[in-house]
Amino acid sequence: MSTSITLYLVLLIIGGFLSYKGLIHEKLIKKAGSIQLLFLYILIFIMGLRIGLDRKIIDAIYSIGFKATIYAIVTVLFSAIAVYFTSKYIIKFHPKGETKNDG
Amino acid sequence: MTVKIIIVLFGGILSGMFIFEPEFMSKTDTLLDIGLFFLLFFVGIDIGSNKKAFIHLKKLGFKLLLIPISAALGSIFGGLLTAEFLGMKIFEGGAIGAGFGWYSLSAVLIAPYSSEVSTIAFLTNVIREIMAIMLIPLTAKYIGYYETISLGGATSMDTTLPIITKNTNGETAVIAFISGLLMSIMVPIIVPVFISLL
Repeated sequence: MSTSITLYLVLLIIGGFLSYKGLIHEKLIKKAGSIQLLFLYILIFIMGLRIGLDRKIIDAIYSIGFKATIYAIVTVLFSAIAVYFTSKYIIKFHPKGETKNDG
Repeated sequence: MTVKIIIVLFGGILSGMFIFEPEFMSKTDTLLDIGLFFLLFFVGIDIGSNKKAFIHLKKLGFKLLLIPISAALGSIFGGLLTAEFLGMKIFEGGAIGAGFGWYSLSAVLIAPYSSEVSTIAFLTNVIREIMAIMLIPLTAKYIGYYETISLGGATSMDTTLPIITKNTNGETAVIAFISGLLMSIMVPIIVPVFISLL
């Protein structure tokens, strides 16, 4: 896991550095969004595949699916509420929707 | 985008259930890693091309750390509250909530205490990741960019980072990565603390 995390960070920094320094061709920067999207869909498909292949998850859905769903909804909800208030009233910066990605 | 994501995700789940053999599971680790490596490189390119983001990030400074901290506290509080509601031991809920979406690790950490709570933690965090994948585009559009990080939790640094990047801006992507990293570090620390309190 730690090797993967280091590699994620290294690749992110290399990509960011090359592009920040203007070493990436303008055309590739423009295409970066579409390439990301393609990999994103492949990745989401693989994540789904892993869930479908794992009998433990499928069996667990039938037995404890209700409890787990409540936990998932409530933890995400309170986490989002906490971030909302922190962003709005402590950081005093709360971007959304209209300031879309320039990249 | 949300509809496409749901179709692809469920396409994957159904393919896993009915088309692919269980032995294929080991190969998905490598595929996932390769996909993530390419993706993060392009996310880096995307972020680096947006110079304004770095200037603003510098201005916000250490205040940014409040985002993963509040996301973590909110998640733990939600877990405690759910345990109370479901009639479970309150700190079991704390341990489940402190998984922050990292299903494999949180389940492993809880397993020595109880296999049932461990399975709930596992499934909770799987559902949490599915919810994040589906709801990040809507959250970014209607609620706020930083709230997408609370959905992704620990996965904001890898699997859900591309979705956050695609639906927010370069600045939020950097904060998401840092937040995901910090929350990933918190999981193996906070989950055992709750388990020790039981």
